Formats: sequence, C-alpha cells, structure tokens
Amino acid sequence: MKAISAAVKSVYILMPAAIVMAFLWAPPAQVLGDSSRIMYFHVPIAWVSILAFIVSGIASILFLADRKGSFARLDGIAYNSAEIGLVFTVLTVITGSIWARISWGVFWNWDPRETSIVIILLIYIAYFSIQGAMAHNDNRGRIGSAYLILAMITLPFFAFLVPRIYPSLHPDPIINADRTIFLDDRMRSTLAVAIVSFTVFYCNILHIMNRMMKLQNHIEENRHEAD
Amino acid sequence: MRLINILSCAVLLLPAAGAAIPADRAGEPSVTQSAAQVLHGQDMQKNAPSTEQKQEPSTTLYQVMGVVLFIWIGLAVFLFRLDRRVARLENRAQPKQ
Repeated sequence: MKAISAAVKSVYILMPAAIVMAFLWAPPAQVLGDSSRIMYFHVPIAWVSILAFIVSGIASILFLADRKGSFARLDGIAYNSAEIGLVFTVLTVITGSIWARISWGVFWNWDPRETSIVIILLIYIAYFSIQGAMAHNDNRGRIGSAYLILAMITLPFFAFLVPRIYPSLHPDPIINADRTIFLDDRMRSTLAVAIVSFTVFYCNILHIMNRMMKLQNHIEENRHEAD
Repeated sequence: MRLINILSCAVLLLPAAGAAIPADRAGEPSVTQSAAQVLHGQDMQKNAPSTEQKQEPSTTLYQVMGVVLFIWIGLAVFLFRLDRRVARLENRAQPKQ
C-alpha cells in the first residue's frame, strides 16, 4: 500500500514537467500551429476517461464473478472509477470545444467525434442516475456492475469506430495532407510524458477515493455495531 | 456530493482553457480551413501568419502556461492536503480495526 502511495505521488513532479514541456519544449504542429498544444492535455484526458471506464468495467466483471464475496469493495471501486471517468470525459469535451473554437470558429458543430462523446457521457450519466435511484436497494452493486459492463462494451464503438466510419474534421485525419498523424520526437515524448502524468493523476485520485470509501464503510460498520 | 466536488474542480479549469483563446484571433480564418486548403492542394501562402502574428503567441504561451501551472498548484495542494487528512483518519481508525 505504501509503495502505491509513493508511486502515485510522482504526479507532483510529472505534471508540472508535462505542462512546461507542452508549452516550452514541444514545437507547434506544422498546419495547426500553437493551437496544437492543446493536444498534450486533450489526448491524455481522453485517454484517462477511457481508461477509467475500462477499469470500472473490469472491476464490475470481477465483482459479479466473485461469488464468495472476497472482493466486496469492487463495486465501490468501479463506481469511483466511473465517477473520475465522467469528470475526465467532461474535460475532454471542454478541451475539444476550445480547440474547435480556435480551429473551426465554433465551440460545437455536432462532428461525429463530438456526437459520439456526448453519447458516452449520456450512457455514464444514466449509470449515476440508476445508482442514485437505488440508494437503499440491496442489489444496487450488482445492477450497477451489470450496467457498467454493458457500457464498457459500447465504448469501442463510440470512441473508436464511429469517428472513423463517418467523415470527421477531428485533427487526426487533417494534421497532414497524407491523412496520418506526424509527430516529431519532441512532440512524441511530450505527449508520452503527458499521458503518463495524467494516468498517474488518475491513479492518485482513484487511490484517495478508494481509501475514503473504505473509511466511510468502516465508520458505518462501527455505527451499526454501536446501535 | 463527491461528484459535485470533482465537477467544480473541472469548472475551475475553464478559465485557463478560455485563456488559450486570444481575443484578437476570433476574426482570423480557421486553421481547419487552412488544413482543408492543404488537402485540396490550394495555396497556403495567403494564410501564412505575418511577422507580427508570429511574435504574438510567445507572450500568450507564457501567460497560458502560467495559468495552467497556477491551477495545477491549486489542485496539487488540495490533493496533498486531502491525502494527509485521509492518512491521519486511517491511522486513527487502525487500532479499532
């Protein structure tokens, strides 16, 4: 546990390094110019949102597969991860809209990539509505876990397939004329540092949230015992 | 409640993001238009930034970086204090477990 705590604390060094690299070290993209620097935040944030939803899906599978109840807290971990994923998805939409304003002149134009992320958002907002509505239901964990698994199955379609099937103005096809993303070594390493930083940031938040959840359960158990 | 707390942190990031859009760039032709012209083999020279525009982003970049770093410091302090408080509560709860 102490090793995890120490590892996730590396975010306090990694994140400032990623910010400085993104603004001062990485060169601007040839066509997109300085507006391309938002990539060092938008891409890692989007990656973390997908990672958080995958972690919540996997935790849900393990929770449902665990018949003996040895990992009773897994539904809570799935909930926390989905919560972080939802916030990072909102941040992905915000950073993407800012880039769209600079590049397209409007914050929103229902591009396939934007539409698909809104659908993902709605799917996960529905999960929190279900969880909120079943606050006193004993099957809350199981129903929520089943929903998170179904939501995870839809992710590849909305996050990866839909934007590639329909024509999109998202920069991955338009950074270069040959429709491929070209990143030079400095851009590539900055992006890698940013992705690692945001991943560690996610792990840090999840770690703290899980510890808080454990404490909350402990307090509630003690209260029941006292009653 | 926690979700609201996290969302409020997300909203805190908005001013930094807004600072990334220089006000005087609103009327410029969009970069996507330039990209589309490259894709269609049109001349990109007419959209090339002037010397004045080339110098402008350097100060804006420092400003945006300053705002982003400031927000990060705020978030890091919040996380660090939260982590310490949780650790203190865990230590207090441990003997009872």
